[in-house]
Amino acid sequence: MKITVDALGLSCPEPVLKLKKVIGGAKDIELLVDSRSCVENCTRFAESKGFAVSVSGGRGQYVMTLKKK
Amino acid sequence: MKKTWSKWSVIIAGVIVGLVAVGLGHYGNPGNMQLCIACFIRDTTGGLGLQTAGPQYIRPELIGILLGAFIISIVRKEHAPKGGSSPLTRFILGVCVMVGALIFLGCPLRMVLRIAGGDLNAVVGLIGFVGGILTGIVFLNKGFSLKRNYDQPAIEGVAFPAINVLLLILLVAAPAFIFFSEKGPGAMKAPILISLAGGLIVGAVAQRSRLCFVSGTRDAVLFKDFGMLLCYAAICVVVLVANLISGKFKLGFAEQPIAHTEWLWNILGLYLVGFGSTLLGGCPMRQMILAGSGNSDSAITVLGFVAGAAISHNFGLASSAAGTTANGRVAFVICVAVVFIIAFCNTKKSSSAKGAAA
Repeated sequence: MKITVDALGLSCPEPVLKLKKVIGGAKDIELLVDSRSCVENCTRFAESKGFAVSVSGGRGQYVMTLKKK
Repeated sequence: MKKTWSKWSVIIAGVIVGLVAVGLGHYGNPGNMQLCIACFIRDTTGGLGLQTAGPQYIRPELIGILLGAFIISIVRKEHAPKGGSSPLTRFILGVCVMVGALIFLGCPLRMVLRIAGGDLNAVVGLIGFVGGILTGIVFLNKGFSLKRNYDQPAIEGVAFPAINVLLLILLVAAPAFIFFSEKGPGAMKAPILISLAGGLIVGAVAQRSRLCFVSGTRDAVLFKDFGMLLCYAAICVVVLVANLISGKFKLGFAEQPIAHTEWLWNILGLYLVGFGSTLLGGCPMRQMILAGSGNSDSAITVLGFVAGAAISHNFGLASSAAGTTANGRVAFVICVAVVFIIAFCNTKKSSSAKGAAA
């Protein structure tokens, strides 16, 4: 089951903390953030937990798709 | 899109920032204070006449840092006007962080530069800084949040850079109502163009590398992400080597440039800086970079730093080489209480995993 985490408008480290809470048992996560630095921080964290990360969208709203490898 | 930085990119960022600091010191900035966000905001506050008891000089480095971040964020299409995330709370935290920084005598960047100069008081202060970050992390883990921000009109994102252009004009035009220190740290300065260029480089590099003196420790503890710590190490090594070569390195506690030896207050001052900055989401340098990138909450925070600097010198809170002041020690107690109240009031009990997922 896909989990969606809405972290729009939140500044780091809050998006990563929200991701950290759900990443444990998840295999498919959609994460919404709105800044490039949040994308970078969340990507590093997700990859360190064994997820493949793809990013779509642009300035203002990024949709990050995280899939367990 | 390249998603992550490599270890080498943050090391290179640290080397560049370190080299700029060395250059600014060579061209006239004060010893172990080649570049300091807190001290330079204090100097600028004095230059505008908002405080009259401390150094007075509109520091071009700060203008450069802000405009460097502004330009690079525009070029990279990252500039986005955002705001509305507890602005008054951020202002108050900014005041408290500045009070702490001026008790220690420096921001986290200057702490690194002081360590690289052999100032062991800064090594002691580092203990407090890390302690403050760890305290902030406790609240972050319990659900602390200053709530989300929202899109703002374009003018909200360019107002602060425009103010900085105005400051540059005032500095160069030097009308009678702008103040310039004739002696002391405020009179020790690199030429304007060199300072401005140095600031532009640091602002651009810090925007690209996300340089933040809080996030390194915070993310190492929270996420076991140690990358940013390499950046601090790079800055420290570059400045240390330059100090050793030029003979400016002096190991010890006593008679360090613009520093005092009250170890407890060096710890406590930086504890306040670390705690407040963690709640703000970034150190004073990071707030400058975000303000340049369109974040008006960070611009408000910088204005809080300005107010904190004015209060610190007008009310006799700021330390000097002679040590802390009685007023400063009382202010510390008040500020740390205020930061704890803000932390408690904005922390809700951590929600479950399901609740966290929207």
